[in-house]
Amino acid sequence: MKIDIKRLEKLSKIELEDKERITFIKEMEKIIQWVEEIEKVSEENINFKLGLTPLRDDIIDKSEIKRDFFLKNSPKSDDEFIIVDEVIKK
Amino acid sequence: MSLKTIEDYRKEIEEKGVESTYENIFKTIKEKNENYNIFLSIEKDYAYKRIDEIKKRDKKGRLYAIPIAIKDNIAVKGLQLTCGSKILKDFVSPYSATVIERLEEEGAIIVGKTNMDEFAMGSSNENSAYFNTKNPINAEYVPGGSSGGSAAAVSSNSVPISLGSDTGGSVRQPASFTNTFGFRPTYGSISRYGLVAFASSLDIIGPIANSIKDIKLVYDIISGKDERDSTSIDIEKNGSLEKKVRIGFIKQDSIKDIDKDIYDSYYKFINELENLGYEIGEIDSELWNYSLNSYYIIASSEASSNLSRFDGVRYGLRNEGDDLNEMYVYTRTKGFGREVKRRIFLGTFSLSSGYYDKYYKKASVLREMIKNEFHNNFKRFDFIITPTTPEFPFKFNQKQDPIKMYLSDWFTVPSSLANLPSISVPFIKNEKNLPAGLQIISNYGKDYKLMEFIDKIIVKTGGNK
Repeated sequence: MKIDIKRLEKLSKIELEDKERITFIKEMEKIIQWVEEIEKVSEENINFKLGLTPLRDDIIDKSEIKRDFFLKNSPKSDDEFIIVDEVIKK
Repeated sequence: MSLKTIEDYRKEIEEKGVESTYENIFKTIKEKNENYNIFLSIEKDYAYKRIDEIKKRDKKGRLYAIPIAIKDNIAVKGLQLTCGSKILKDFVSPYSATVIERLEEEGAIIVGKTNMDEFAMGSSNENSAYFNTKNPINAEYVPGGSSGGSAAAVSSNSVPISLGSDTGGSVRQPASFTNTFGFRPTYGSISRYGLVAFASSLDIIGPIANSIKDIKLVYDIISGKDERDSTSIDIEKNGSLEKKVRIGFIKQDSIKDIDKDIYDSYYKFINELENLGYEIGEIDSELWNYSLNSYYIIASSEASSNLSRFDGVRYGLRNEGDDLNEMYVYTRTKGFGREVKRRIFLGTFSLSSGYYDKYYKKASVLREMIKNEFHNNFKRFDFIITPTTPEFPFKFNQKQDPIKMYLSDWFTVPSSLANLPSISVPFIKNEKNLPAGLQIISNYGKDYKLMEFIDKIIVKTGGNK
């Protein structure tokens, strides 16, 4: 099966260089061909439902983590906030 | 070289005291690390602080002053958490995983974070963004993966016990390659809180050790329901075996592409068990041939979703671009390695519109079928025995083809998909002195019976050569 690697790059927010794209296409096509072997198995009559993770009550737990920790781990921050480009447009 | 267990460390601590024992421990760790590149970080300061703390306690705890190595995808407060990736290069964990809290409550001392395949994706440790860990049994060979650093830490006698994580075989396969015990418990029986997610419906933390007794002690401490992981569960602690133990093995002609020594030793061992009077029966599974394919769809799909959080916004690496989208793309392109990219692509592909039914849904149905098949087999058997790996350890750069690398998990993936406990036990060595393990699988939640069976029967009948 031919794959549209540029579409996958766009969806994954990963960009390949032109040279490595050729290798990736080859590898991905082989991998997809390989996983496609599951088509050979006839499905039993199984009612597949996505498993749902049990949810806890929506109560705020007191966190012991200090603000400093988050700021230090962030790529860019001032004394109070993590600095990012505008993520949600006004 | 005799393999050290927790008991050996206890004796040493009793005789020499904690400080002098730790001088030796860090000397050994340094030396082994120079030879085999086991640790991403050696945490001497952290360890000595913790030693001061436990010495002030009234109660010593079941792991008093026992050194433990931790895979670098499990959070320890104040220590690095790289997951073997450049994208988390300078990340410091703001909290500790539940397993770490439970170990430290019992007096355990964390001495370092171990190397791993990036985001636990790999079977040789060659996918670490930092360096390759070498197999302590023979440094020309890989230690397995993805918990290769943790397995090497135990195998090299740097520590008696380590924690790894297992999604499709990442604890059992390196245990097989390093002649150690590696345990993938029942899914959910150990909290995932503080384990960096790869494929959440398959991920579990598991111990690696030089004895089944040590595996059991550590499992006993770290397992059980945790409010912070809603998929976590308590399991039955009764480990007593049935009077007549029934053992299933894989039908002879249904195993393909396996090393001849492993194949022969496996069936010879099954014969020995039969001669000893255990009820033996064969399993013929068509589905096992499709487990790996299903696994790669499911695990990669979950990974593509889980790894979307690494976007350069709040933590980890950020590579600025002209706009927000460029920043996302530059960060992820630079931050992730090849195998991680392949899996994100595969997952994105199988979840994308038009392909979901054909790939993700079909694989999930197969997963249910595999679960049902195991369920039926465990009506006939108490345990199922298989080889852990189809081969002995391989050399670095030997597997350039990703699919060949994936096949390393052929035996370990089915029980992962079925959420079942399975343990790799040291089994045989070939003429090059390279090891391969034996895998024992039990029914859901029967982890204590599984450990009892290995302790009382497998290890004593020569499964532990």
